[in-house]
Amino acid sequence: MKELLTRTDELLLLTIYRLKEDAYTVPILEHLEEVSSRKNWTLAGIYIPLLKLEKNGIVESYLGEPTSQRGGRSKRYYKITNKGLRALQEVKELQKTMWDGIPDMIYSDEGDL
Amino acid sequence: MKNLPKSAELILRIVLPGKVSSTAVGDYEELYSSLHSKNRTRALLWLLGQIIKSVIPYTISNFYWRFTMLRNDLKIALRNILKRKLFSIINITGLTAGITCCLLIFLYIQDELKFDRFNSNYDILYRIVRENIESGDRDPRVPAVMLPNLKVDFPEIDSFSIMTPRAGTVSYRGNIFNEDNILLADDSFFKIFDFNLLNGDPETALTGPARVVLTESTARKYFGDSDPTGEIIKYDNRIDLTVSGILEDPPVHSHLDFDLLVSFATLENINSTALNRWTWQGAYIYFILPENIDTGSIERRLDALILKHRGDEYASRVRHHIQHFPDIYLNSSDMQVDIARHGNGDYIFGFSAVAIMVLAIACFNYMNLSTAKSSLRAGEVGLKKVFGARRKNLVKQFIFESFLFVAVSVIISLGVIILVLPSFNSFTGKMIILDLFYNLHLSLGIAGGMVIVTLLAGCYPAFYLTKFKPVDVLRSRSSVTLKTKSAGGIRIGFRQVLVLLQFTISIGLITGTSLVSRQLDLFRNKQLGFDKENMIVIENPYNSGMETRFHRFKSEIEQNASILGVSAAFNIPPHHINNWCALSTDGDDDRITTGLVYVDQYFLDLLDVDIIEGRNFSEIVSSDTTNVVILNRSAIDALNIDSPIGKFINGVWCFDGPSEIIGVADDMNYFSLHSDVPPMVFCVQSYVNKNNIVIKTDQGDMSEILGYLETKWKETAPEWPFKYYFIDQKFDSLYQSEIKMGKIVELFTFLVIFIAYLGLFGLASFIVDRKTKEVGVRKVLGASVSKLVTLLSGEFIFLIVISSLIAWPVTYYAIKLWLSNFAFQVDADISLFIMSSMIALLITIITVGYRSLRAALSNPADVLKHE
Repeated sequence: MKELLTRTDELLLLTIYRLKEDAYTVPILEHLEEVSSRKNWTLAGIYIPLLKLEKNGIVESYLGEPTSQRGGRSKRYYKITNKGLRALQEVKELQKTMWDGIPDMIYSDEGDL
Repeated sequence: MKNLPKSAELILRIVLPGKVSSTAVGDYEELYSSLHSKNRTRALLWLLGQIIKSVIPYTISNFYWRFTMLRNDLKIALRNILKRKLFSIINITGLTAGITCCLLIFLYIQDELKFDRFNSNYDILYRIVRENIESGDRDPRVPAVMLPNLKVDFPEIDSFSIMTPRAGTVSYRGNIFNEDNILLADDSFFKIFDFNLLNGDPETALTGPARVVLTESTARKYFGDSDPTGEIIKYDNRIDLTVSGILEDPPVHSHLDFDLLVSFATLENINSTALNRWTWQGAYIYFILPENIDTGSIERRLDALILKHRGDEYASRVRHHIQHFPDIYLNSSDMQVDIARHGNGDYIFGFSAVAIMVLAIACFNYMNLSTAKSSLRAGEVGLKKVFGARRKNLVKQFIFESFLFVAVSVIISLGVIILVLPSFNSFTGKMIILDLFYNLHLSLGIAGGMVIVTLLAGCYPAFYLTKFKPVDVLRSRSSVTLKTKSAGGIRIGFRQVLVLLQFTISIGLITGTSLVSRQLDLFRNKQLGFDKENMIVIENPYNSGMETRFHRFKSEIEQNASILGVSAAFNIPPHHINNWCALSTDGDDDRITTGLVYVDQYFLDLLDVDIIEGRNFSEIVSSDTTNVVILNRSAIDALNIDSPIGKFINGVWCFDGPSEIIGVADDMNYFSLHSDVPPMVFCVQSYVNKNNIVIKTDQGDMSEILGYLETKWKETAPEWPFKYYFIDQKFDSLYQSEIKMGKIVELFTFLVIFIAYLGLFGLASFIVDRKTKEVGVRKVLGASVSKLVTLLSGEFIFLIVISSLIAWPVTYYAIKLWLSNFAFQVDADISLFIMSSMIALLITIITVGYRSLRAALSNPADVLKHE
């Protein structure tokens, strides 16, 4: 693994992992909006990193059956490859090491920053 | 389930990466529709936000990096445009002219196609048209009595509307108005057509007799601002009409145009028998046809209906058709009598072809000039290739350069169009506006046209110029030419083919222009068989007093020395003949269709029509007012009568009994020279109203004579307006369409020649420039000036000869096609063609010869001293 995953990649991959069989772009977007409590995600902002990840072999995609609900267009489902899993694991371990022993940055006590 | 707006889908498809675009659009649609079901506005805002967010990165990634290279290309292109001014001016002028022509034609066609579209029944409306089997003439007028029969025989058709046009006077409180545009229509008129009734009940406004609906402008003319509903106006001084509604003026794009709508039942008061006579053919019947009905079977049943009511004799001569509503405006220009306005479909096709030719010639110029100056770009191409530019990049660069030319020309064209549009509109009688924002088709057309023209003009030069091998180019800067096939003789390369085409088009158009002007001269100068000069026609309105009015007026004005004669007749030339009858000689069953004109005894004499046999009508012979006739030469020929004088003829639908032929008149052109002289019969039956007064005057002061006539008319008939025309002027107006066409063809020819020879001039300049040294050397070695000029311009003269050979047959075919519109045609003889080629040759010699001669006359010392 030459390059580490970016934060966006990481979020995307974790979302895909959680969604399992249902991992296509719409639920991915909804999940991201939900957990990050931010509304400024765009679909286009998901396709581009996903395309890159797919090109690097981190995820793979396959087409679902076309449904009438989407105007007869099929969904593209994403799945994490073994290489992708290894990369995620690497990031996770790195995170753990880096955060070890560092306290939370913001205390819940009032006014005492 | 809510679909994405089409425009949004289109943008998304463009900006999203190709691999995922289809599924991605599905994603957008899914999210959009779920949002849409909750809140429409939020969904739209969301979509807008999403699109903006995805367009920005797309634009940056796509254009930013390309732009850097583009900026370089732009700089080089601009330098080239500015450096070679002659080349740039020739190209931009040519392209501008070509694009302007094409855009104007585009706007014109677009406007023509807009006709009648405001009607929601556009696609399902039809009308009845009858065709004369023998002559092929189509006539949309049918008997009014057909309508009740149709309603019974065609139960599957639910809506019929019948109408007939009228002209006459309308008076209100002592004011008399001439109205030429009155339409009588029945109460289903508003059900079938979408004319906008502002005031009044569409169901009943035209029900029953003596009701009238006014258009807004007519109402204002009569009543000012006060509400006219319920007021009474008088039609032709005898029929009271009650105003039952106000109508918005008919749209500009309506083939039906009228100022007053009178209820159809009023026809009974105007002409008591018109509603139930099968021989009164003056009504137009429109109807809505349910979509899946076979039109052929309807037509056969119409024929059967006519057969049932009019018998074999008549039915064997006509065939009925139903004409689709859109065709009425676009495709009826052959119908000589019609209430509908007609477009000019035949000419549009021709003009579009010529406009495209103008543009093509401009493109040829671009190709020729770009490749002719190839040596000037070779260094740049070679060097770029050395530095790693691939041919693809270079081709892109040159095509971009062509695009710049086209874009500049388009911008100038739009400016030119804004300037010429007012005169274009007054010439074509249209109200076209140039509106790039709301006229989506135009904007798309321009964009598409730009791409096509760029590729057409730019591809060949782009590939030609990028062919150079860097080694060849850079080894020796002085010998940069592509290998040409042979030095001596005349070679036919691509460039020569283009010049050949330009010459061919030029010669063809010169021929066409001279032919059109010859034909127009024929129209003006042809002997019509009667005297049309100094003839004034005054309309004598129909009513019971018309005959006494005529005699009173006649005896008044005959005392004036300037009035040489007065006569009355039913149809005055130029007029379509309204009455037709079937004539046969006694004891013969063969009948011929003959035009019937009611005249008085003085008419033929007044118009100076030759009586070639027998005698003219006489006022002394009292029996001349009944059952004697004069036939014209065509009728005698058609009936095949030897020594006709004293023979009897029978007429169906015209005379009471056999009529004696007392004379034969020479053929006269009653109507335009488009059609031949039909067989005609003149008779003086006194009971028939002759509603036109013909007055022959001397060549004195016309305005004085008109003033005199008007005063006398006002004295004799104060209740009727003074309406007159000159026969010769009215004849000239029959050729308006040809005169206009002639002007357009002239303009096109001028443009084509201008552009083509501008290009030729540029080309000759480049060739001569390149051969300066050759000319110098030859001159030193003793070549004469004339030899040198021949050497430099010989190729073009050879090309003129070849293109003449191509242009002649093609033009001959086109000319024959156009001339077939007219019964009287000019000769398209060989002199016409030779003359056109000579003109083309002359202009070529002037254009090319000038450059060649200057080169040939130059001092060899000047051109050779730098070597």
